[in-house]
Amino acid sequence: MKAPVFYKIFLWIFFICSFQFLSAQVGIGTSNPRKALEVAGDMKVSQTMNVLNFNDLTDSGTSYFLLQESNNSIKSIDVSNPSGAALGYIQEYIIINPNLDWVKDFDTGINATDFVLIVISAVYNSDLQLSSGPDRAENFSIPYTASFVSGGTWHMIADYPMAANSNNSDVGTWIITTLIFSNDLNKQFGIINIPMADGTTGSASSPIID
Amino acid sequence: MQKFTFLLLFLSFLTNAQVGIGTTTPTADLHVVGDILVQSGFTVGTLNIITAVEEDFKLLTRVTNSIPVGEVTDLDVNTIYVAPINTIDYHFTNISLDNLTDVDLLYDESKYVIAVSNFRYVGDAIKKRIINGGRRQIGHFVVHTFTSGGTWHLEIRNRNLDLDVGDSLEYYVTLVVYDKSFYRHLTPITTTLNGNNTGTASSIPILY
Repeated sequence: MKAPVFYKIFLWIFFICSFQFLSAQVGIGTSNPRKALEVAGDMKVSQTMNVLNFNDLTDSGTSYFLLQESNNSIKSIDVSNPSGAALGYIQEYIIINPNLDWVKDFDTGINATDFVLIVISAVYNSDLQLSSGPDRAENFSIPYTASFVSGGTWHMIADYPMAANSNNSDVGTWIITTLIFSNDLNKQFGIINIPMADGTTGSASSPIID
Repeated sequence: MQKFTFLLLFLSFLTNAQVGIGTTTPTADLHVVGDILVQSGFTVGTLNIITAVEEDFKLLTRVTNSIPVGEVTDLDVNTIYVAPINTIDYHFTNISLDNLTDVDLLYDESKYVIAVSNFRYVGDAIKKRIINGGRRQIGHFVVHTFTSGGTWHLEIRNRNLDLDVGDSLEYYVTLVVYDKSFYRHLTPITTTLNGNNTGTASSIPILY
């Protein structure tokens, strides 16, 4: 008994398909697939995706991190592209001629909702003397540089308390190096107040779940 | 009859069944036993979110010098020499007075950004100097990294005062080495405050 012609055609298509899918590489939009599946175009997975085996990044590999954007597409953080994002930013602030050595409130204008800014080092470049006056000259001075949020932006404060330029005519300069992270990558835990109950030792509860 | 079954198999394969490439027993809607290469954009509708109790996850990276370009790898800091963030402790001894004027750290400026933290000063104190009218000069003590000749350098010293001869000190620091493949070193922002103690930066860096 002879099979109808259309059965034969379907059989042929099925054999071709099964051969291609079982043993050969599959190309979509390309006739020369280089991998088990090569898609010459975009690819969309509506649900989840598991990859059983990622190779480890090697020392010779130049690489960028991958992120998923709010529209579900996977994107890389290309730091070499000036208009692309980075995992973090190192920004140096050169603040010339403050009030002697005192920078009370310097507004960086950086949005505090989207970013976190921390001071990683600071240098003041002018000679200093302790403030004069009765009992003052024996005071100690512990310099500090810190960032804080005010009016929705990051500000900085820098000072040698109880000290100032040795010569009032000196023009001092602070060089403050900051590290800026996007809050997409950084988690801010807020302030933890630790009353020390007049003691010198204590413990601070960790907000991080190990 | 057997041929009719073939036809049914083929039709279901086209419409609603799971597809396997390199496997006859797919366990997902599309199951590829092998590698996948996507030449353009890639979108995943549902990526599960890492929860607070999960550990041992790895960040994914896209390699730009693989063949073909764009291999997705995971970043295991144990298998690569330089991680995105690296910390290295340094201990300086037998210093001339307090003056670490210029130590070439030999880190390539084009590849890394070096920050200094955890500074610790161990040893004799630098003494104040009595100047005009009994005032106490304390000089200015700096701890900072800077670039020179293509590499990062370190300066730690009191630029105006010195340790007394015969006294000694040691410095401890932790250098934080940021890989420029992941972190961007922005152009410095210079602002003049004209003698005021408040002010606004001359520009806001472009961040994303």
